[in-house]
Amino acid sequence: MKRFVSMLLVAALLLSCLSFAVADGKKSLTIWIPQYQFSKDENAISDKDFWEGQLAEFSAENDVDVNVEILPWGDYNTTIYTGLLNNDGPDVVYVTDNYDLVQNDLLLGLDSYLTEEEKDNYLLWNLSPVNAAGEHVIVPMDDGVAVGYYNKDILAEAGIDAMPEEWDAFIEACKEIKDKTGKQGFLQNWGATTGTSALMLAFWPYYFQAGGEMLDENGEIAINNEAGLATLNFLKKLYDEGIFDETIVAETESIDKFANGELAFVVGDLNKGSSFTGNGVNWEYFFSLKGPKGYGARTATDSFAVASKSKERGTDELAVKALTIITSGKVMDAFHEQIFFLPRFTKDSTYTNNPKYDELTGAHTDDIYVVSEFEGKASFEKALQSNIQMMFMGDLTPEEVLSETMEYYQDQIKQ
Amino acid sequence: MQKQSGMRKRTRVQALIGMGYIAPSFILMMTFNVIPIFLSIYYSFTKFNMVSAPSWIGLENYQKLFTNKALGDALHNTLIYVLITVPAQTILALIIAAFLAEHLKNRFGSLLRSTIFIPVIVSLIASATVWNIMYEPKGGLINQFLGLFGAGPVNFLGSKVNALPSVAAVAIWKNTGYYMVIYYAGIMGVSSEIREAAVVDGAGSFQRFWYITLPVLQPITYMIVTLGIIGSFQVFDLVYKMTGGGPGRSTYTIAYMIYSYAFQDKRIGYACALAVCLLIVILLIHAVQTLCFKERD
Repeated sequence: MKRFVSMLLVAALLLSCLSFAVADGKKSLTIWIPQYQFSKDENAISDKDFWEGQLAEFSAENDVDVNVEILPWGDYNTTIYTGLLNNDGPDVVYVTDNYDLVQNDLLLGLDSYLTEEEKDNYLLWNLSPVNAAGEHVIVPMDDGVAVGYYNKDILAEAGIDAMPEEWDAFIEACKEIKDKTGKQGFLQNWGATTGTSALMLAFWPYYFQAGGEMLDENGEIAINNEAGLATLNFLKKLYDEGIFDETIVAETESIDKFANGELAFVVGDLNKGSSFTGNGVNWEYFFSLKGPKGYGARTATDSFAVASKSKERGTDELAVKALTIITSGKVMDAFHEQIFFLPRFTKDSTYTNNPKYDELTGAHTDDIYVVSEFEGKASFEKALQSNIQMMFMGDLTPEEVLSETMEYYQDQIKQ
Repeated sequence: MQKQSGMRKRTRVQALIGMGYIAPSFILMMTFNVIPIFLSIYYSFTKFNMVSAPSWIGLENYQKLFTNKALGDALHNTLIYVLITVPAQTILALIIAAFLAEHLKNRFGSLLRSTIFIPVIVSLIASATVWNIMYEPKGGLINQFLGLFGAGPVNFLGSKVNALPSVAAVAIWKNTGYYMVIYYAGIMGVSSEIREAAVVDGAGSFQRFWYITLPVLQPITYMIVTLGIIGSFQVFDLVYKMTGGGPGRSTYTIAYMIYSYAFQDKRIGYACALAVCLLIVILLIHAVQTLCFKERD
């Protein structure tokens, strides 16, 4: 009996060694992508199933194990930062804020891996930052312009025939709506948990409309200028004129309020329209308000990249290959159809979800701005958000908001 | 002689076995508690972003820290938060525990005890979300309730005066049940003979509580206050979810600052300098508290 048990143990040991040997022979690739499937439809395909399906052919052709991990959005940037430092981290990764990743050389330079044709296929390739060696490190996606929406019924009830685009006209319209319908004209979310979330819809678009540029010639953030002041004066006027009330500094679900028909105007991501329609809101898009220097809307460019560490692991070529498949028109078209609608960012992509949206943004290509990456962006945006909240509460003037924020940046953030 | 050496050997073996027993927890404590403290102190004198090796910059992080206006606000808010939460949750827990032990030693009392304990086991983020909805100035449950008496609406989280107490109220609601259970166990441990003797001597329930229960519970109170102070100084999650540090900087706390510098800006050295300051403040307060309790002894 003892001999039999011993033989079994030896056999088990040999088998496990064999399986290790097989596993060792096969390369594996880890891909980190955040959750994008938010549909409540039980038949909707999950993110993991989608990506595994799309990469099955690649996996078989290259004899590689593809391990797709879907990450939650909470603290996503911190998660990928620590993941990219790790030897067991991802090979291909979806990137949100890229400044620290580029500065610390955590992303692989892509130029030498991609053909000219492949690079040319990426519509936003020129927005990709470069590393110290001068190589582009990400494939930028177009996350879509944050556009404006208005409720046609509320405007009609208030006797407003056309969308008021100029800043002052917009404020007057909001006042009129309040007087004639009792409904709120416009709302922003100044109580968002992070400065970045608050500013991307409530500050940067207006700063661009005022003709502001985010970075100076040294690549440092610089908002203490005419555009910054004009933006803050506009926001303050919205408060002083009673468009915003004192609750503006607490977290507000303005999109939900618009979807419930309680709000006349809102700014939001481009894919909100269907939920508004679902709620029976009679709505229409507008590209942006028109500030002192014209129109201006903010777009985001999240991206896909390959980890520098993949070179040490010997998976760099496979990882770039996987990246080109993920970002190909065919896969992205399927992604936009089955998971989440975003505008196309490659020439070979054909999918368009909403011709009306394409027409609107197509007419304003020069008025679309990207929020730049810079050192200490999260802390800077938090400080600016806090100071703007203080402005609403009467503790700071617009001039003080700008000077205090820039002072804080120079003294505490910039290294 | 031989007997003595045999005993020594046995003692050595016993000591080795003892060390073997404590080794796992000792190693874990050293790895996750003690060594990180020393590492944090070292990093606080460096410029470190987790990628490149830390570079020594001496006191630069501390110099920068003491000119940081936000630190003054954060320290002030954290102290106010501690001053609101610790006495409130301690006194409430004690009163509820004493009441349950004295008057409700039955099934209803058990049910009440469990009910008061429920917030402890609820996820903090879920609680914060629900409280955010309840605090809504327009249509929030609390304002609807206040409306019944003709009061309100109160802007709980959007006013710099109300925001911090409103967050603190959630912490009190969340922690009271936990401390109540500890107090309850302590009260039940008070000898029934002493209590009965006091009853025979004609002591009323308040006198029994004041002269018997409270002195006996002093070590427990010491522990609860210590835990409360440490926990309150570390407040982060409630602030993060409910106010994001605002409005303005009215709920900005030290732990929130540490998080922001360390994990959003990747300035580990600077965040560690802040963490070391927090450690010093907690140690100082703990020393004062220990002195006070010793003097009372």
